[in-house]
Amino acid sequence: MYGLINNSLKNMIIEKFGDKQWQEILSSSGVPEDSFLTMRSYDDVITYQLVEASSKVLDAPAETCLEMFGEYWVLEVASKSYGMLLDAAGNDMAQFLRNMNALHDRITSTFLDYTPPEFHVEDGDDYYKIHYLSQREGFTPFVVGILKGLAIRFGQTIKILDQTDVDVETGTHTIFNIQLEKQ
Amino acid sequence: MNKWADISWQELQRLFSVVMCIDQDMKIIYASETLKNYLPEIENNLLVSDCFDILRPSDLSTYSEAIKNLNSLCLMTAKNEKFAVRGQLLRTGYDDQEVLCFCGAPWLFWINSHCPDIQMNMDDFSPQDVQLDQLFFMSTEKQMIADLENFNKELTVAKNKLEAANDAQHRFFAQMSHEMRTPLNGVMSALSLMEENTGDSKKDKLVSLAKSSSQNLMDVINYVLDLSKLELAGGEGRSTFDLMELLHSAVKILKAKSKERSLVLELDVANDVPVYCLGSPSRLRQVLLNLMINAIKFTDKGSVTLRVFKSSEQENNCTLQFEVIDTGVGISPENTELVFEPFWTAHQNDKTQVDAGTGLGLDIVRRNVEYMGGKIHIDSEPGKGSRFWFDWPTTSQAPDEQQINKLAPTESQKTTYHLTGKILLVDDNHTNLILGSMILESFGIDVITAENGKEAVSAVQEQQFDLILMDVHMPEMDGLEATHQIRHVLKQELPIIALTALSYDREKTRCLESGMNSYLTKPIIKENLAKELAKWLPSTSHIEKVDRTLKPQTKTVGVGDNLIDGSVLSELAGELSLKDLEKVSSTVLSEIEAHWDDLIHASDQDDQSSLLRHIHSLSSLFRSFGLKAAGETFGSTELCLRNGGVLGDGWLAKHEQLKTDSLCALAKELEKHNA
Repeated sequence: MYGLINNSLKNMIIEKFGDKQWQEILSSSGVPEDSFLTMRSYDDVITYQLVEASSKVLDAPAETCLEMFGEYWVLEVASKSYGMLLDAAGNDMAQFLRNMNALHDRITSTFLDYTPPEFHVEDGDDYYKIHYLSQREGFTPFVVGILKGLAIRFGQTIKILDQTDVDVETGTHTIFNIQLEKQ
Repeated sequence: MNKWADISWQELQRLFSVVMCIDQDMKIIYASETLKNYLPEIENNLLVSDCFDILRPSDLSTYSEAIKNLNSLCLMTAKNEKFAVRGQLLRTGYDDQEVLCFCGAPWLFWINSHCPDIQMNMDDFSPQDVQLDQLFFMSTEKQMIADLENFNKELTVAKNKLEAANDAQHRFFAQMSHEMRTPLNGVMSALSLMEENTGDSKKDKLVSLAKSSSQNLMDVINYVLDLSKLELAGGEGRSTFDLMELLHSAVKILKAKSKERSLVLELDVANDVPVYCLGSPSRLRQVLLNLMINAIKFTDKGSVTLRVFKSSEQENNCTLQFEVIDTGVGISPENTELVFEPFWTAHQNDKTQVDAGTGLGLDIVRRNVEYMGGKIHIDSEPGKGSRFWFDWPTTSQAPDEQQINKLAPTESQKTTYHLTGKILLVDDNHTNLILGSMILESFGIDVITAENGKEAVSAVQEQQFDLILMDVHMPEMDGLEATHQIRHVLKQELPIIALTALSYDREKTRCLESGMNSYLTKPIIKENLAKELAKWLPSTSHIEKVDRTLKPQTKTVGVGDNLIDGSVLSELAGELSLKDLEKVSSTVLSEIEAHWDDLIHASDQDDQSSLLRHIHSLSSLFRSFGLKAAGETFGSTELCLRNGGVLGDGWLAKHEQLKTDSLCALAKELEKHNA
């Protein structure tokens, strides 16, 4: 995982819960680094350890922590640091969803040695079927947070009608059926 | 060209979001959707040159010129300055005629930079176009730089915190060592008295053991204190000083000690050694004294020589070599590397009969030499002697005006300072006012006195002064506030010199920050005061032969030796008439008793600020008369209270005992001068 993910997780904890909680999470995680460089690749284990420790220290399920992080990622990190790219990816949620895979293709060409997830979107009028495929496991709640964050960004309401995990040998394949409504 | 490419226009538009077909008249006969979206006028079959300014290649005005540039990057900006494209030309066919086809994309960086309100969309770029990827890369690079800048800030904060913690630790050690020295002095003095009075051989041995152990403990405490001072001072304390004076005075201090051991103590300075040097005189003095004391200690017969010469020179910068050579017991070759290690002693390794001490002095010497930028070495041969030598990089300096005026007095001469001007002397302590006035008047100065900051401010409002000597801690209004008012309310720029009993850097900083120009510590030493005043007042000085012999300094033994520094009183006796000395003495005695009564009262009432004020006044009074143990103890107590510390049980009784003993020692010393 690139440093920007770990760094954002750190910033979110500090911003929402304070530096003391972050120090506690860091010490409980056993992760030696307390700062991460955006463009450096870190072992995925570090991210898992930080999420697990956050869940323990904040006394909340890991899924809740990841979902909160997904929302924070869209609304705070991506909007501030990669605003131009987000803007280019779409003026509304539908356009953004259609471009989400192209966005990750480009990320693959920039962030070397990184395997970002793939998104395939089948769209109807207001209904969308989103396939999330990743070589990692356990990050589905993060994607839920991202979808919710995007809806807030575009001023739309999202309903996740159902969420199905497809049986795969490694990694994750989740299918979301979502409905979008204008606010 | 016989055969057109089989690629369709639709296929081309999948690969390139900007496609234009240009005929042989350089007219645009076809444009892709992206182009039409951003440049609707392009559909009117305009000439390329009507629609675009061409930046690259330089000439694209005719079809034949364009053909020459098929391998060039084309950069074109729209005439309306709202769009730009980048791409390449290729030759192909359209409706059976040869045409040029421009294949490319919106020129993203130009548009972002020149038309910030145009929102380019990901769909405006074909997937293989790397321009958006570059944008990704630039955004992350920017973030990366922000990360590194942030790290740098965090590291700086951490470094500062660490340095502050380190300083605090050294201050604590310095304070504790200082506090430990006072009671230990008492133990050692008591042991000295016991040693004189027992007559019982078993007890004598025990007392002797206790005495040597407490001496070792004192050495360790002094070592910690020296080390802390060394760490705290860092690179401070460099000034221009008279090296010759320093060398002569260091040797002079040890003359008596070497005479006791029937040794010859020599100073051998090469002619080309500069008189005035830039460096830390206190460190250099400490190093030379430590080396010479060691040499005297380990030499039974023969000599100890301090030799100084220039080992290298480049313009004004030079390296001086200092050597301390003795004809003593020497050190075996296997131990020469170890002598600078802390706690290494000759006693534990060589079979000498000399009490080798704690083995900390040479460690301090090594550290001091290294702080000054040098390195210390040793050559030695057992039974023949040792040579300790170090190099010291310095810059030779021209003496400043004051140093020229000073014309270094010799043993048989005494300097009289003639200064002119009117000085306001501010102190809440009557003794200090009387003493200070007498000394200042002896320079030829007019003196007006004030007893606190408030009176000082009024006096400055009413009269013109050339300089103010300002005590720092005073009731009603302290010296710092008074200085602030004089500078900021009265807008007076006259020199203000602080007079304070506390010699800590923090105190000095506070004084200078309040607007004072300089700083002197009590007790007032006439020569230091004159030197300082000479910087600020019009001065002339001359040297006159001493026409009276100063009374020899009497040395009090035992407890009294630690209680009183006879030289302070001797100096006073030299400067004041007997009548004046009696007057000042009687004032100081009555002032000490008055402050003591007030201190008891403040303690009973648990009035901390009043307690602090009287402790400060007593410390100052004791120091003025050379009552060093009492001055130091009351000074440490003051510092402890100022730092929020708590005084231990029975402190009052201990301080009272010290006060009584000190006044007895003073009375005895005064009797000698009256005799």
